[in-house]
Formats: sequence, structure tokens, C-alpha cells
Amino acid sequence: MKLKVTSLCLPLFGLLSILADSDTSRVTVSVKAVDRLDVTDGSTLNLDAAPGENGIGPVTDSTARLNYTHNKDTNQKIVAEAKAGDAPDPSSNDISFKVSLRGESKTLYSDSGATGPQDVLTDLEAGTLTDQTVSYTAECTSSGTPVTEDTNFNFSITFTSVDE
Amino acid sequence: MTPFRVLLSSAIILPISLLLAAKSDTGNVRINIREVDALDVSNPGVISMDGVSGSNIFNGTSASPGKLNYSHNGPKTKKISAEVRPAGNPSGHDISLTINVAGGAGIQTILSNGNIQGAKTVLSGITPGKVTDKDVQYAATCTTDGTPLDTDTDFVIRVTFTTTE
Repeated sequence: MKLKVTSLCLPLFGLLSILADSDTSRVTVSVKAVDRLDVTDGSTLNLDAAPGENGIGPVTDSTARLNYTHNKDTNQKIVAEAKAGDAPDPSSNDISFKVSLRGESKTLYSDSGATGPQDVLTDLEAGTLTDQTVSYTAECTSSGTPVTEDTNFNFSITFTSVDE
Repeated sequence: MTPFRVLLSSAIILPISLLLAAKSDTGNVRINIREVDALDVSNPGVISMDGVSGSNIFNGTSASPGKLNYSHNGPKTKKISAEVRPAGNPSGHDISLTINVAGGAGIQTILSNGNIQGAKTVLSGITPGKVTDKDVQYAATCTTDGTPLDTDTDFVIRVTFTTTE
């Protein structure tokens, strides 16, 4: 009987002796909810009239770039809104300009003033937009925008990402 | 033989008999040496991943390394492997995770785009003795479209280390 017990114990000991040790380490990867939008400035749009023409422009500048990244569950859209600078006030003239992204144009300012927020990019799933060309096109008329000397009208364009 | 001679003979033999009968004993000492195979790996610092506009890739490394301590007295050299098991891999991400143990096998990928890559040897050729305070560094990447979320989110990934011969 004792012999039988011994013969049972030996294999068990052998099994125990080859068991490996293990340990578990917890790695925490903290991922930020990202909604990052960056738009560079455009260059000056120079509107100059040709002899015999009342219309000035349109002139387009495509130097601005848009970069955007989001990782939200919800699709995003980007809206753009123009705000005229304080001086000189363009509201008394007929300057108008629009913004174009990915072939879609939206008027941001017309001779009646700012048009309010406009959707310029829609249905943006989580991901990134890299180096997207932002084109601004401006025009006016000689009769509608009289100036006594070369004059800069400044506008700021605010781009905002929002949930669809 | 006269009675006198008998007595003399006994007087000589008796002391010799007493000397041969001196006692001796043996003491037994049992020394039990345990088989040692003790592994401990501490948690690293949080890997913080933030995005930038125009980039789809998030990158991050652990703020501080984990520490690996190990002792064994086995007759053969040992190695340590690391792996992410299914229960230790949360869902809803495309995180890739690499591990690098100082003085070990170099950078090993244990998660790729959220998928488990199996056990990878991180330290090998460990002779009997100890390994003390080895840095265990982690690095992670993911993408904005592969790991969508609405709020800052912590993904806790459990890495299991195992010693084998």
C-alpha cells in the first residue's frame, strides 16, 4: 500500500516542479477624445479693375490649408462664418466673397453682409483631413465699393467643428 | 590453571571490553531547498495618446517603465515571454502595443491593430540567479478612425509574463 502512495506522489511532484511562474502587468493606454482643427491664413486678395469694366474680380486665393482630426463616434461637420474687421467697415459696399473646400462653394459675405455660419464640410467620420486647400474668392464693383486709395478690408473666418 | 591465573586474566580483559562498548550516534540534518521561480512585473505609467490636426495617428509611450524582477534556481536557463490574452484585451480599439525589456530581445509587438500577437520572448538565456529592476518600456499607437470615442477613454491592457525553460 505504501508503495502505491509513493508512486502516485512522484508524478505529482514532477508536475509541480515544471510549472512556470507568471505575473500580469496592467498597461493603461489613455486615448484622448480629439477634435482638432487648424486653418492657416490666406493671402491678400487684390481686386483691381480693368478699364471699362464695372465688375472687379472675381479673384481667388488658394493658399490657406485646413487640417482636421477627430476620433468621435459621431460624424462631424465644419462650419465657416465670416466676420468683418472693424475698420474700414465693408457693410456699406458690395464686397462679396465665398469659400471653397473640396469643390463646394459657400458664400460667407455678400453686399448685404455676413451670411452666418455655412456648412463647408459635412459627414466627416472619425479620421483625418490633411492639407485640404481652402480657396477664397472675392469680387465687388467699382460703383458699389468706391475708395479714395488702395484700401484693405479685413475679414476673419471662423471654422468650427460640430456634431452632425 | 590455578585459580590465581584465572583472576589475573579477567582483570586484564575487563577494561578492554569497556572501551569497545563506548557509545556513538549520528545526527541527521535535512536541508530543504525550494525550487524558486519567482517573477514580478510592476505596472508602467500611463500611456497618454493625443492627436494633432491633420494626422490620423496617435503615438505614446509609457510615462514611466514597469520594473521586472525575477529569481530562479533551476538547472536550465530560463526565458520570459509576454503576451496579451483575450481576457486582457478590451474591445473597440485598434491599438498596437509594443514591449521592450532592457537588455532583452528588443522591441516586440504584442498587439497589432487591436489584434493579439501571441507570446513573444522578451528576455532569454537567464541563468540561475536574479534579474533585478529591468526596465519594461511600452509604446502604443492607434488611429482616429480605428479608435473612435466621444470622451477621453482609458484602455487597460493586461500583459501576462511567463517563465519557461
